[in-house]
Amino acid sequence: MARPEMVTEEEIQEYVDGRGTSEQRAAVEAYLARHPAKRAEVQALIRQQEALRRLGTEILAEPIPERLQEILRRIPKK
Amino acid sequence: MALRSMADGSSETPDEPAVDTIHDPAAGEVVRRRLIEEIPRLRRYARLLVRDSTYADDLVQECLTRAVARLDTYSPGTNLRAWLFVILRNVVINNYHRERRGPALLELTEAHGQVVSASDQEQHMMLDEVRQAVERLPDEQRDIILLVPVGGLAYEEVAQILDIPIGTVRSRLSRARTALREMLEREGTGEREV
Repeated sequence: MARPEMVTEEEIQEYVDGRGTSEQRAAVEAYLARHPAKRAEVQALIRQQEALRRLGTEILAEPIPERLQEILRRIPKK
Repeated sequence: MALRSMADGSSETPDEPAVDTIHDPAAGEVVRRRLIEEIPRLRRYARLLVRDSTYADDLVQECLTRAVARLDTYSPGTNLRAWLFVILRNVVINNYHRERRGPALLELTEAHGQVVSASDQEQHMMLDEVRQAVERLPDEQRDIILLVPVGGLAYEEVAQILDIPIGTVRSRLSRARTALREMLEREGTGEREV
C-alpha cells in the first residue's frame, strides 16, 4: 500500500506549518478527508497558526533603534 | 494498530534555514548588514517575551554587544540567526526579571493609539487573546511557539538554538499548540469562523 492509514502528529505539525513535501501534504489531506473530527481539529490549528504568525509583526516594521545600530558600528570595517 | 513511532527522525525532510553567505569573517560591512537584518526578529522575540519595549531592547542590546565582542567565535557559513538567538536566550536567562515585565499587552496596544476600524478592532482583540494565552503557557511551550509559528524559524534552526533533536521540536510544538487551543476554546475564541 502506498499510503499509511495513519499520519503522525509530527506530520500534522508540518502540514499546519505549511512544510513537508507535496506528497506528504497530500497524504495528510487524504487522511483528514477520512477523519472529519481530526480535520476540524487541524483547521482550528491552522487558524491558530495564522493568528500566531501575525503576532508582533508591527515590531518587525519598526525602524531599528539608534542605540542598537550604534553597537554594530563598532565592527571594524576590515 | 499503533501510531507510528514519534521518535523516528531518520526519514525527515531537512528544513531550510536561512543560508549564510559570510565567508570572510573579516568583511565587517557584510557582517554588519547581516546582523542588522536579524535585529527585527530578535526585537520581536524579546518584546513578546517581556512585553516592555525598552526592557526588550535592553536585552537585544546586550545580545548584540556580546555578538560583536565574540564575532570571532562565529563560524562563517553556519547559521547566523541561530547563533544570535542562542546569545539572546542566554542574555534572557541571565537577566530576565519578571518584575521588569511591562504592562499587559492589551494596554500596550491601546497605548500605541492606533486608529482601528471595528473589524480591525475585533481582530486586535482576538490577537491579544492569543498573545495572552501564549504568555500563560509553560516556559518551554511558550518558547517553541515564539520561535516557530511566531518567529517563522525553521525546525532545524530551533533544534540548534534549543539544543534538542528535531523530533523533540515537533513533539513540543504539537503539545504547545494543543495547550493553546484548549485555552482559547475555553475562552470561546478558538472556533471563530474565518
